[in-house]
This record gives sequence, C-alpha cells and structure tokens, in this order.
Amino acid sequence: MNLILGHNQFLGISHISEERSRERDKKFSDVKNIYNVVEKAADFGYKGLILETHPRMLEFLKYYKKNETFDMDFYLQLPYIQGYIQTMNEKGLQGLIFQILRRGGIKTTSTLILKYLINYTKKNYIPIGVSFLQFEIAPFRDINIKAIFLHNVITDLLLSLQTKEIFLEYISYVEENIGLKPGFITLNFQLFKNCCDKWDIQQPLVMTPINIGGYDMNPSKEIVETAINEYNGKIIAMNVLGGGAFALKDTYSYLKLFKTIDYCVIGASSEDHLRESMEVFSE
Amino acid sequence: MTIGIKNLKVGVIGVGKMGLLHSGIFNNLNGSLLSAVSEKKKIISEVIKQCVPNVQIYQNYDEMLKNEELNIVVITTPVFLHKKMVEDAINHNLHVFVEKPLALNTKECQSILSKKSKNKTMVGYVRRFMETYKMAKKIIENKELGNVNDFISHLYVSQVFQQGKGWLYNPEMSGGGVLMDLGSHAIDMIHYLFGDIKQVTASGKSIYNKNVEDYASVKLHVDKNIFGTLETSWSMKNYRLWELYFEIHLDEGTIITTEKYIKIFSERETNSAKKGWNTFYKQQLTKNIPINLGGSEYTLEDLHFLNCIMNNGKTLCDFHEAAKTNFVIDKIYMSMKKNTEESIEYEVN
Repeated sequence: MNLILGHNQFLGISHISEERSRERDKKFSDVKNIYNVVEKAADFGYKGLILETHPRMLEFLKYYKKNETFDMDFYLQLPYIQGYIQTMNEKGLQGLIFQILRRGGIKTTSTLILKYLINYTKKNYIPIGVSFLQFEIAPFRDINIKAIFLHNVITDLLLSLQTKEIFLEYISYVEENIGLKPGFITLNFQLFKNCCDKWDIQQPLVMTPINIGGYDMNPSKEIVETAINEYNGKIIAMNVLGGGAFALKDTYSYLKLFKTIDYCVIGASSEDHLRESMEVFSE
Repeated sequence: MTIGIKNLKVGVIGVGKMGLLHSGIFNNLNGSLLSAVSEKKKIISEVIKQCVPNVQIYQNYDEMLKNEELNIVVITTPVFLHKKMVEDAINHNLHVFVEKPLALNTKECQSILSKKSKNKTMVGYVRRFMETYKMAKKIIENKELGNVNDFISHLYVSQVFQQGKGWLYNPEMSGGGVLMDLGSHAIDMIHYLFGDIKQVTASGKSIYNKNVEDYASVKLHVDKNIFGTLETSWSMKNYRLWELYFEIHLDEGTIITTEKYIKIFSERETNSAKKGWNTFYKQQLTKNIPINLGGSEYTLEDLHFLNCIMNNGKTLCDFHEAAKTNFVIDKIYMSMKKNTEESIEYEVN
C-alpha cells in the first residue's frame, strides 16, 4: 500500500478536537516545521503530499522551492473554499475576484480575460467557471504535480444537481488546457460512480473516505464497498483513520480487503507518526 | 394539497451557499425533488439555468410560487427578507423551511406566527441534528446523571478581523452582530438542552465593526433553576471552524460537548457511559446518510422535515420554537443597551 501524506494537520485541522487543532496550528505556523515533517515522509517512502492554495501551504511551497533537499510528488486539492469564504466576508465579491486575479499573475490574467469576455458575451458561463482553475494552480506550476483533485464540496454539489456539463468541462479542461490528470474527491462514492456510468465518463481518478467504521461511506458502508470493488478507475482512500477515531492496524487490515486500492492518504504530524504508519502499511 | 411518496416538489428561494446545499440534498432524497429555484441576481440565475438541468429558474420568487405547483419552499436568503417571503409561502399553503434565524426581531416573528400556518414549518438550527448534542440531550432528558445544575458555553470562530462588508454587518438587515449570526445557534441549543430561559444579563462590544457587536457575554437563568453563561465571538483567533462548546454540571457527573466530540464523566455506570470519563467522537456516532453535502447534519435536518410532512409529525424546531430564540436575543440586546437584567416573555405560548 502506497502512502500519501495529507495536509490537514499542517493547516491546524483536527477532525476530532478543536484543542488539537489549535496545538497543530501553533506548531505548523512556522513552515519550517511542515518542511521537516514532509522531508521525513519522503525519507520513509511516502509517495506524495496533498496541497491546496491555503496561504500557509503557499509559504511552505516557497520554502520547499528554496531548499528542495528531497523529491516529492504533489496532489493538488482545489479550490480553497474556506479561503474564498473568508475573503468574501472581509472584502466582498469584488475583493475576492481581485485576489484571484492577482494570484494568476499578469500572463495568466491577460490571457484569460479576453476568453472571459468572449464567453460572457455569448453567455457561455461553464467555461468561465472552470477556467478559474488556472488561477488556483498558478503558484504550483514549477513543481511535480501528479494530479488535480476537485474539492468534495464542489464535486458532491455537482453530482447532487446532476450538472453533467460542468463535470465534462472540468475533465477536458484539466487534461487539455492544464495538461494534468483530473481527479475528484467525493463523500458520496456510489452516487459518483453511478453518475460516471450514466454520463458515459470513463471512471476517473477519485479520492473518497474508506474506513473500518464506515464513516462518510454514504449511503452505507456495504453499498460503497460493493461500488469500490466494481470500479475500474484508480481510487485513493482518505479519512482512513477517521481523524484518529479508528486504530491504525484495524484500518490497514480493512483496506487490504480491497484489491482496487493501492494508495491511501494518511495524516501525520511527527516523525513517530510517520514511522508508525509506514511500518504498519508496509507490512 | 395531496401528498404522495416521491412527489414532493421543492422550490428554493436564494441560491447562495445554503440554497445550493438544500437544493442538492432535496434533489437526492427519496420523497422529494428539486423543482424550481428563484435567484434575484440575474447573472447567478443565468448560470444556474445553464448548469442545472430539469429545474425551472426564476428571478422573482412570487412568480415561482404562483407558477409552480410546489409542496415545499426553502428560504435561504438574508434574514431581512425572511418575513415577507415566509408569509407569502404560508399564504400559498406550502410547507416552509427557512434558514436561521426565523426573522429580524420579535415583532417580525409575531407577525409570522399570527399567520397560523396549517402546514409544517421548520427553521434551520442545524446543531439539533448533530450526534454529539443529541447524545447530551438524551442523557439530560433521561436524567442519567441526575439534574442539571449549571453550564458554561461558548461559540467562537475566526471569521471577522476587519470591518466586514455586506448585509451581515448592517444591523438593519442582519438584526445584530455575532449574537444574531452565531449566538442564535447557541441560544437555540440552550432551549433544546435545558428548556425555556427566564432571565438574561448581557454585555457586548465591537472590536472591528462599527455598527454591530463582535463579542457578547451573557448570563442566563434557565427553567428548573439552571444557571449558565454564554460567550460568543466571531473574532476569536485560532478557531478555524465554529465551535459550540458546552460544559454541563449535573448531580452525578459532567458532560463536555462540541460538534466533534462528547466527553462524559459519570459517578456510576449508566446507559450511555461507564463509570469515570468516556469520550465519543462524531465519527463513531454518525450514521450513514443518503447524501453528504457539507455535513451529515444538513441531510438529517432535511430528512426530518420531509418525514414530518409525510407522516404528519411535529418538526424539531418549528416556527414557534425558533421564534423563542429571537425573543431571547431581543432581550439580550436590551440588557446590553440598558445594563439591566431582563426577563423573557415567550409570546409564542
């Protein structure tokens, strides 16, 4: 089983306790501490790191590019929704748009604005929305990105509203215009698989919760297990430890039951955590 | 109105974050179908029209109510628009779900209640559907740890660190500051867990915003001689997500709960806990749901509303129950202004 290092712990996120969130937030407010953990992960054989356009991860990226004492594959999770909500609260919609455009830099912004104007005149809104991804990925252009994952909030909303056109546009835009592998994160794997089948989409790369407790395996653990076994695309397991609610060894024994899963995301915030997870998963 | 299984038609007014969320959920539950949405902003309504198939799009909600044969209307607009929309929906004989709070103030709530809806009503105080608080409620209700004596609570988030822009920071449109926005969830939870509130004493202050409070501190005297405190702020550092924290002291133990966990100290073994400290995480308590869009509690909330309509049940937070929170908040603001202890009169009874 290949391990990918999750990024939640670096952003001060804990799914089981706000106290733990605050401890982590304090520790990783110095990006050097993130770099040290990721470097150790690379030493231990972790295959990649999840990244998003959170300001702290952008700082980490600058630090990584400056030092770069190890190789690592990166998986981008887009868009950074929490940040957009915060900016909307503080600066309103205009402020948010300016912030996004600034991130793209002059080249990306000037290229895209003309396309936006043409599409806007034609009332062709879907390509405008999807091409905003260019601004999200702009800071990551010169690192080794393996795939882009659409955030579960967006993926699941698109599925729930049956917005086939946006799904197809996202896949083709990432493949053709960005030149990367498009992926999805979903908390509703069965719905995801059903939509792919219905819309005749060749089952794409997907990241979804798979854990012994069945947490966020919707609509039920059994139905998702069946859907996983029937899926032909690549699946990356996430939420495997339920934020710490489920034991590591039980988790590994459970994941081993699936022949289709050979990658899983693990959160670890110290050398001991990294080592322990790797030892169990490389059994 | 004739209601059959799998044919409840849902119309959503306001397609912001919450509007999209409820649209997506109702579109996927057995027993309901998203039929129409109304969004005043032209560009957003055009985008929705292009993206979402098989759904009628309106810019004017009145037209939606007139033209569509809806069963349920979901209102997710800013609070200053609630009263008229809710009353119009009641006049159209619809089941009405409205996002919290019910309205701007006591007067508006009384007007809504005077319409005496014969259909199901519900307000989106979603924390009532989180497993940790549900467990706390069960322990209190069953007196597993005896009577409640007192509680400490806070609701914090890191959200506002400069003068905010938009209706949320204009008291005429929002009804108030952090107390109205976040604090309403906490006041509702106090009603849910402990019962009616008798008296409040409060103080508040603005830190970043000129016209609304960014911080509020409230002392509460609840029925059955329970005393408690509530601190709330949207300008608290290091709270990435909302945290509604309760520490409840009972005759035979303590309950500490947030959205993410419940810790129970019990002096003896009970139905819910062993002797000593027990910790349950939401991951262990949460059951699977038909669809998850941003939290299982939202799906459970919409499912509950749907089940109450189909089985003629009483919703967990109908307009009468939710109006209580508005009544209490008005008294809290009065206490802040006059520096007095205020008694609550539940004009809903």
